[in-house]
Order: sequence, then C-alpha cells, then structure tokens
Amino acid sequence: MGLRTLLLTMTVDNIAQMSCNPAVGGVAKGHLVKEIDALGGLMAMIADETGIQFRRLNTSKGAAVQATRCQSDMLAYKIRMKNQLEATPNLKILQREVRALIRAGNRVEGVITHMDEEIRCGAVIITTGTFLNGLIHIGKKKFPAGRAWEFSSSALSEDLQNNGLLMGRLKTGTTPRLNNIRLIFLCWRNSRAICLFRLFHFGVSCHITYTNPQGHHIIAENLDRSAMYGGEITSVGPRYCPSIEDKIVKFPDKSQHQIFLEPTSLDSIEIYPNGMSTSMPFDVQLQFMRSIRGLENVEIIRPGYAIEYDFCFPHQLKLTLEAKDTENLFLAGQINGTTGYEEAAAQGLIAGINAALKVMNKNELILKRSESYIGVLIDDLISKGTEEPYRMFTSRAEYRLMLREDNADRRLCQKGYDIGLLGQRKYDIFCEKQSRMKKLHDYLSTEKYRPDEQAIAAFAHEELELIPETAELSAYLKKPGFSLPLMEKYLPKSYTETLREWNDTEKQSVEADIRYEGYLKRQESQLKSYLRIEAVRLPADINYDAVAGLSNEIREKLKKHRPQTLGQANRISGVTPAAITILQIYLRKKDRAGELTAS
Amino acid sequence: MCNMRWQSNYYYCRHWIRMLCQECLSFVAHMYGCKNPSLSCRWQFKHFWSFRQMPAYSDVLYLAKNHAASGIVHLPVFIARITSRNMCSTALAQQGTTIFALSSGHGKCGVAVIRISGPHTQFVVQRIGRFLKLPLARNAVLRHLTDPESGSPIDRGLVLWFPGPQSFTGEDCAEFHVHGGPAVVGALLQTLARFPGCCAAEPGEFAKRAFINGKLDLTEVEGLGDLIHAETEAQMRQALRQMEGDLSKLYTDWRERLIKCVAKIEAFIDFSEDQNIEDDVIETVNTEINVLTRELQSHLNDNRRGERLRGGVHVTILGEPNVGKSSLLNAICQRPAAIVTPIAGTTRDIIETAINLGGYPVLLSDTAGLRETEDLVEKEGIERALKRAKQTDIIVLVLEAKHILQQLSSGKGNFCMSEFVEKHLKDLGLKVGTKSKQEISDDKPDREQHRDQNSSVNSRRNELIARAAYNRTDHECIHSDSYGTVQQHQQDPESFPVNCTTQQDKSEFIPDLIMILNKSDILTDRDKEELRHFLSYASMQTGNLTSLMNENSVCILSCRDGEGFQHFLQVLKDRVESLCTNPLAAVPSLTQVRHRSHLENCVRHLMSYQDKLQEEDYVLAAQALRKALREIGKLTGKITSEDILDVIFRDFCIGK
Repeated sequence: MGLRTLLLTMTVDNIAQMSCNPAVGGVAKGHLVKEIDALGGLMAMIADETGIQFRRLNTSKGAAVQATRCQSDMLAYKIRMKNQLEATPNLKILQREVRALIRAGNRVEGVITHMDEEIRCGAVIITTGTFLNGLIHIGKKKFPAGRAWEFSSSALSEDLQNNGLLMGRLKTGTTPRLNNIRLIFLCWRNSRAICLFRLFHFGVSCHITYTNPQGHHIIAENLDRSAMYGGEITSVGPRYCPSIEDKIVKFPDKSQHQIFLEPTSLDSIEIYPNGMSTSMPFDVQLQFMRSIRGLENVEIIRPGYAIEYDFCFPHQLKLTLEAKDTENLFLAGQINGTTGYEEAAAQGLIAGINAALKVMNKNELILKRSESYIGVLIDDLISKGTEEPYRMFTSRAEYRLMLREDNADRRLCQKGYDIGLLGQRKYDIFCEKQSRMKKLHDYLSTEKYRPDEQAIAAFAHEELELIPETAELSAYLKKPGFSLPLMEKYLPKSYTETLREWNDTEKQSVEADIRYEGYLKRQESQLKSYLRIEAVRLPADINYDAVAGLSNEIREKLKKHRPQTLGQANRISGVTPAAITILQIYLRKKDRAGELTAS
Repeated sequence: MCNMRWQSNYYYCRHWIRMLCQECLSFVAHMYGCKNPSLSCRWQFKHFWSFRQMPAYSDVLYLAKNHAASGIVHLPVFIARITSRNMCSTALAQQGTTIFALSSGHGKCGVAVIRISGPHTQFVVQRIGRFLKLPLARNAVLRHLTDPESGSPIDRGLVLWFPGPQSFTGEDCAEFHVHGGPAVVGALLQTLARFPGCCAAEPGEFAKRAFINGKLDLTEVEGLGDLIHAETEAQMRQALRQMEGDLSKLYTDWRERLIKCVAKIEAFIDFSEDQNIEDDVIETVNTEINVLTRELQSHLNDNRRGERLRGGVHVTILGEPNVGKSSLLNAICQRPAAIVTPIAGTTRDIIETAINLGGYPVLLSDTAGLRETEDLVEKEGIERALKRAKQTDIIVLVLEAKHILQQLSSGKGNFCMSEFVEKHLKDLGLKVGTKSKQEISDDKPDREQHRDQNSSVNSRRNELIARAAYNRTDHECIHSDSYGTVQQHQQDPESFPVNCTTQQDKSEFIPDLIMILNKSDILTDRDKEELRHFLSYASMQTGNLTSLMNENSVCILSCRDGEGFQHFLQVLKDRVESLCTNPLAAVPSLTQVRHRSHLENCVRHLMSYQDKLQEEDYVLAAQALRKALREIGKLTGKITSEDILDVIFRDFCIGK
C-alpha cells in the first residue's frame, strides 16, 4: 500500500519458520489461504511455489467445504518468503527485540528496542506468536524459549500489561522430529504410502503408521512425568491438537492412533510424525517412538515439547484488530489466542491493512461474517473471546454455503484492489475470469435444452428424474444427481462445443453457484436482518448502567466486551434477543432526545 | 393461464380452465374430487369462486415450486394472486414473518381477541374469513371463520382489518374476535400457525414492531423496555413450569441426540480427510435421524385432537337392552332427549345430543340395545350402534350392577373381571382392542399390534412418551399380555412405520371405555359394599384390560336416584379433557402452539436432511440438521456452534 514499513524480528533467519507441521491449507484453513490471496497476501503464492504435495480435500462432500491442502517444503518456504519480503519495496527488516512501546496519552507512537533505540511510527502491529514469556516443557524440564531453542521475550509482555491489556496464558505443543534414514519401510503391516506430488526430480513419500497398545502402555506408565499431567502446565491447550498423552487418557478404548509421517523438506532428512505432539520427558518420547511399527530404530533429531505463552484476551480489540483503549496499537496472530499459520496470516493481513489505512486516514476494512472466513475468525475472537487456542473450522461459519474456496476471489478481490494491495496484473486476471464466468452463467441459465431419446435413456439408466418440458440447462443442474460433466456426455454437439470455451475450474465454480442459488436466496432474509443490526453502531461511551431493563449479568457482559455494533452484542454469549431490543430502544430514545434538545 | 401472463382483471379468468396445462388440470380435478377434469367450465367457475374448496396450501406451494423453473404463470400462482392481489405464493415465503397472538387473557372468557400483524395478514384474513374482497378498513364484519386447509368451520366471529401503516404496529394488522372457549381459540391459533410465514409472536413482539415502525412515542418507548423485560421473565417462568417433568426430559433428550448427530456430521466434514474418523459415522447418524424423525412425528401426531376440539368428542353409550342407556343420556343432558320405557328395545335409532362438558364440546349418542333379534328395524338399529361404536372416541358401556353380582356369586371367587368384560364386549358384537388387529394386520408386523393394544389401554399422552422412551431403551418393549406374564419384544427400529400419520389414524379407532354399573338403587347396602370391594380387588389384577378396571373406569350409579352420578360425570369430563388436551396439541396456550410449530419445523428439516444426503451434499445436509437443532433449541434453550464443537472434541479423537 506504499507505506514505509519496518519489520523487527528476533531472528531474521527464522521469518516464516514453520514451527509445527509443514503444511498449508486444509478444510477451512484452505479457505482462509484463498481469501488471503484474494486480498493480495503472499501465503498462497509462496505455498504454491514450495509445495511438494497438493490435495483437494472433501471432494465428495459438497462444493462449499472442498478445500486445498499442500504439504510444504519447510526450508524452501522459509527462504522463498524471506526473499520475497526482502524484495518488497519500502520494507526494511531488522533483527531487534522490542522491549516497550512509546506512549503518549492513549496513543502509541513507536517502540523501544533492546538496543535502546527509539523508533517512532504511525502504527505498531504486534505479532509475537508463542514468544511472549514462552516456556518450553519437556517432562519436568522447563526453560524459557520462544520456539525450539530461540529466545523468548519477557519485557514486551510486561509492558503491554502496564498499558492496561489483560493477558492470559495458553499452551500448545509440537511433535518430535525423526530421522528418516532409520525408518524401516518394508515391514509395516498397517501402513499405506501416499505418494507425494512429483516434480521433475525424485518424489518423496508420506507414510501412515499407527501407535499400538505397548506404546500406549509406555505413555500411561509415565504419565506423571509428563508436563501436562505432572502438574507443570496449567494453561489451556487446543482440544483439536491434543498431545498423544491426551489422546491416550481421553480415549482409552482406542487401541491405535494414526500417524502421518511427513517429510519436512526435500533437502532434509527430518520427518514430522503428525499427531504425536507430546510433553513427555525425552527418554519416554524415544521409547514410545521406537515402540511404533516401522520406527523401531528411529532417532529423535529434535525432541517434542509443550510450550506456554502469553496472549492478550481478544475482546479488548476492535474488529480492525486495533486495541480498543490504545490507539494505533494493533495485535495479530497467536497473541490474540489463535493457532495455525493460516489464522495468523489472516489476522496479520487485516491488522496490517487497517494500520496502513489508519495512518493514511482512510476508512477501515472490516470483513463481514457473511463474506469471508477471515470475518468469522476475527468476529469470533472479538465477540466471543476464546478459552483455548482458536482454530478455524467450517462449522464456525453460519454462511458456510456462500463461503466457498472457489469464490474467494469474487468475494474479496475487489476489496483487495480498492485498498491498493492487490496488484493490477492480478486484478486484470480476476476481472477477465469474472466476465468469463458471468458469460457461462448466463449461457447456462438461458440456453434451453430438451434431452433427446438417447439422453433420456442414459439419464433413466442413472435413475435421474427428468424435467418433462424444455428447460434451461441451469434448471437441470439444480436437480439432484445432475452435474455438468455428466450432462456434457449426452448434450448435443452444439452445446458441448460452446461449453468447451471454459475450463473445468470455471465450470465447477459456476455450477456450484447455480446449485446453491436457491439456498442462498433463502439465506438472504436471514442475512438482511443480520446486516441490519450489524449496521447499528453502539457508541463507545454508552453507559450500560443507564439502560433500563437489562439484567445485571448481561450488563456486566456488555461492559466487559464493549461491542462496537449491535450485531456484535448479539453474538456475545448470554446476551438475549430481548436485551438487543432493549438496547435498540435505548439508542432510539437517545437519538430522539438528542433531536429534541437540538431543536 | 399456464401459457399466458395473468392480467390483473378478475374476469379475465372466466375461461381459465381451458388454458390449464395437464398437471394443473388434474390438480383442479383432484381439488374438486372429480375424476373427469373436462367438466363444463361454468361449473368449475362457480365452484371456484365459492371459495369453499380452496386447494390445500401445501399443494399450492408444491405446484408453485415445481413450476417455478419454467417461468410461466401457473394455476397455484394464479390462485394466490386472486386471493391476495399482489402476492404470489413464492413472494409469500420470502417476505418477513407474520406474527399472531391471543391478545385477550388466557382461560375461559366471553370474547377472545386474536391479533395478527405482518405482510401476510391480508392473505390470512381472506383465507380464513373467505373474503373475496377485503372488508372495509377498521370496520367490524361478522364472518364464518374456517380452516382453509380442511374447510371445517372454526367459529362465527368479528373480523377487523387494519391496513398498514395506520395500525398499531404500522404493518398490516387484523383482529379476530371469537368466542372465548379453549376449543375455538386453540383451533384458530393452530390454523394461523399453519400458514407459511406465520408464527406465534414472541413476548413483546407486537410492541417491538410498533416501535421499529415508529408507532410509539417517547413515553411509550420508555415503558417498552421494561415491558419486554417483564414479559421475558414471565415467559421464562412459564416455560420453566412447562418444562418440568416428562416433556422437558423428552425435549432435552432429543436435543442432545440431535447435537450428537450434528457433531458427527460436522466432524465428518471438517476432519475426516486427515483424521481417522470412523467410516460408519454417517451410517449411525442416518439411523439415529430416522429414529428421531419417527419419534417426533408420533409425538406430533395429535390423534385428531384439534378436530375433536372443533367437532366435539364422540361419546357413545352402549349396552344390552333395557340397562338404562337412555336414562343415562337424559341424565347427562338434563332433559328427556330419549324416550325411556321399561320395554326392552325402545331405542331403535341413534339419538345424538351435543352438550358442553367442562368447556369441551361433546357429541353424545344413545344407541339401540345390543342383542340377537329378528326385528328388521331393531337389527338395523343395532348395526348402526356397532358402526357408531367403531367411530367413537369414548364408549360408555352400561351394565346392570345386579348382573355383575350374579356373575360374582356364580363364579365362586374364580370370577375374573377383565375376562368378563372382554367376553361381554364380544357377546355384544364389539371387539375392543382386538379390532385394530384385523384392520392393520395386513400392513404391519406383529409387534405393531402389541403396541396398538398397549395404546388402547393407556392414555394417549403416556403412550407418546412411553413410545419415545421405548425407542431409547435399545428398542425393547416390555408389556404384559393378557395372561399377566411379562414378555419382551426385541424391536427393530426399522419396523416403525415411517409414515406414522396413516398408521395412527387406524389405531385411532380404539376408543376409551368407561363402564357403568347402573341401577345401584335396587341393591342392598351389603351388595354395594361387596361390589366395591370386588372392584378395588379387581383393579389389582393384571389383565389386558387392566386399566379399565381401575376406580376411574368403573362407576356404580343409579340414574333413578342420582347416586354416584356426579362421580361418573367427573370421570367422563376427565376423559374428554385428556382426549382434547395433549402436552402440545390443541391446548390454546400460545407457548404450546409455538412448541408445536417448532417441532413441526424440526421434522421438516430432518426430512430434508435425508433428501440432501441422497444428493451427497453433506453441507446442505448438515445445514438441515442445524436448522432442526435450532428449532428444538428454541424449546429448551439456546445453542451455539461451541456446543457442537464441545461434542466433537469429546467424542472424536482429533488432532495432529
């Protein structure tokens, strides 16, 4: 967006370090990546360039939840990303630790580094990951670290608290990294190899193996030596990334757990055993790993660990990710209580955009729940808060049908372009694609079709119900069982030749549009009422004590969260629809009273 | 008009019948119940305008939906247009909701006022009041109000039409002033609830709408907040009261099971690609949803209660000749409606009287005494009596008290009451409880019949709850058979009929039974004592007709001196009431109408889940389940996506 930007990091080499599994995307996460891309972010591009395996997930479960996931080359990703950043105009990268903020009243005007420099700026974005007061646990051993063997940062956390931000503590963890030379590939009874995407050079494989009762026994016996169960860690970890000891304790009936053995990089012998995050002491880790079939001789290159870190309760932020009480201070990533690369990237992007917009005195960019997963992510954090590291799921999005991966560009590219983040070239490509897709959509919804006898027989054979009269192609596509590829098989030549103009991705996307049209229309009324109350802004200085009729519990909640809009207030847990009406009434009353005194 | 555009001229449709497409034509034929659709257009025209037989609403919507794709104006759309000038049925579904509520107080009162507000008001008024043209605004009009779906009358009452914005809420409003009986109010509320886009108002919603449309001034606005608050509290207390006991358990149980299903399907969507979610997860969800759908359906099936409320509960007096049936009728309706003589076989035809029993309409029938006879007239009368017995809701079986005593002394202690009643009924030509077997046996497996038998002797409410419970307990059904032994039946969930409605309608023919031991005045005190003693003993016996034997089902009375008559009247009242009320059905409380419509919606969503699954779109399927869950959530409390996530992480081992 053309502003001069300074990136301060504790280790320049570790920018874009994948500290956990070497993968980008997944169900819901893939959606986030596409949205980041549509707004002009880098993640998708770099992931494309450094991926070693790409997969479409959920291909048989409905268009809305189909997603992309790629296995990344961890080292290549990091280097490629660093190159890209270094080549970015107006971006300077320095290796410094930030110790404190420079404040003037309730504004932030810059930062102080551990070299005692004072750096002044228009806005500060803090993305500390797990580094704030990071404490690594391996069994009973613990030591401060931001990530495996990197320094942690304690001064900044203290400074933020002094600035009035309420901080809490969360936990996450990662698996040991194994040595692939000692893996025994031949004798795995339960394994199946998934061949990774082959580039021109040699391919790599990803294997699956399973834990077994002996291994579970080892864990169970040493449970009191684990950091989690030995009482060392009290903070909350994500339920969806449980450690192996969690899995064994909570699901004692399961005799085995699945492990994906993923290569971390084409240039490295390290293997990431997906699903084996642990806080056990090192000797137990090794013993356990070696109890697994195929891993009998394995070495642990890097031990797995659990890490506790400080985060800031996200209800103290606005939807722009700016702190409610401290102007020009933006927070993004794990410091807001999320987990995952994609979630962090999405927030980083929104915080960055809004910081820039603020410096330029432009209108803020807030994505709605109905238009993006990013909107859902940020709104969830701010309206509902989080008790555990927050990860994106498709089930969190109530407008899931509208938020498909393949229409992320249509939803967001225009916005990315308007704020000046999406390059002209990419925007042109987008516009062309849109017009082509519109043409296809028009074609499908106007072109009439009546199946000939051969087609009727074929459809009957597939047990599909036909439309008795001549109907548009789109009418057929809306019927269960019909799909464009299927119809193309039986359509007369004149149709198929026209359809050849478009590629498969475009066709799929338009087909999904047509299929969901009816449902989306039905959702519209719901959407309208959502947008209506979303548009009502609550003044920052609203005095909830003066609002008659609110219960004390709700009053406390509103005071704590200080929602910016009525819609947000509605989503705070425990706030009833009746309370929303009462607020509405209060606002209207205030308006009228204002009008009266003015006249 | 299938192939031409409708112009806003009523008379244009004079020849509409000629222009219908085949489907619409057969639809019209079906509508009038005639097989030959090519009747004269004049005939059709006349009947069409009489508005007597408007097509069922669901049919209209169905056809409209099917035809929407072609873009041609079809009959259903046309009907919707002429009944409501600017509204076509698809537009109906899209606009905002219309709310209704009983605005006068609950309970029995002279006049009840039911208020409607919202965009569909005009349509609703025209359909219920059968108005060709809307009444003058803000003028009271006396109309017959009917249920447009079944065409059955509800009441005669005043209709007031307030077109927006000059109305209380600023929207189109209307008021129905009807008689204040629970039956009428209940029927009207239920009828309203069946209109698409109409739902029972939330507390304070009328005021809220008025406020949103700027209809309240500053002082009123101030009070409104408190009002909503207070009403919410009151509603909560009311809900809490209702939610105690079995019903609450039932709803909570449904909700929990549904959450599990949603969680499973969500887990399948979000995690099945890289976590080892069991493959059979969808299978288990399907099975569970099937079971749930059936439970909800059978719970909702109100056993014609609404109809009973409107048309009255049918009570039929049966018995041998000259046991005092007609005297009983006269005593109940407090006038000499039937001729009473000491000659056996005085009553030949069925004598019907409509009475009001505790606020509920009752249609009381006296019948010819049942016996073998050669008299043609009497034979016909007996046949009619038996036929009536099959259609009735409650049978009042009249016996002479002396008769029982004789049996008792001759049986020398081995006399079994239940066997006697069974035998007696059989002798009379009635087969209570077993009759349904013959009717249903061709399309139902054995265990169904047992269930039906069960239901005949239990009150219907208990049956519903019991059935839900029995589905839960591993589909095992325990009931005692006529020999008093306990049998266990393994129930296969699949054997439960998917379409409960038709099945229920058949099992419906098993009437309740009240036994009268008449002519207690000719007994000695000692005899009476013995009889009572025996009855209380008999009530402890196990038998197929056990519940008939309890103190509430057998009444000793005398029509002559009125002894025991009040007790009998109370028993009858209770029975009638239990037939008309149901935790959900026709009780005219708004909350219950709301409950019902939530549950109905829930079933609809569950059905659509099954459709979507066949299309292999799990997202839409999951959406349908979520909608279903939201409906039940409205009955028990709120649900957020966190609830579902909780279950996912509790039940599935997910993690990288």
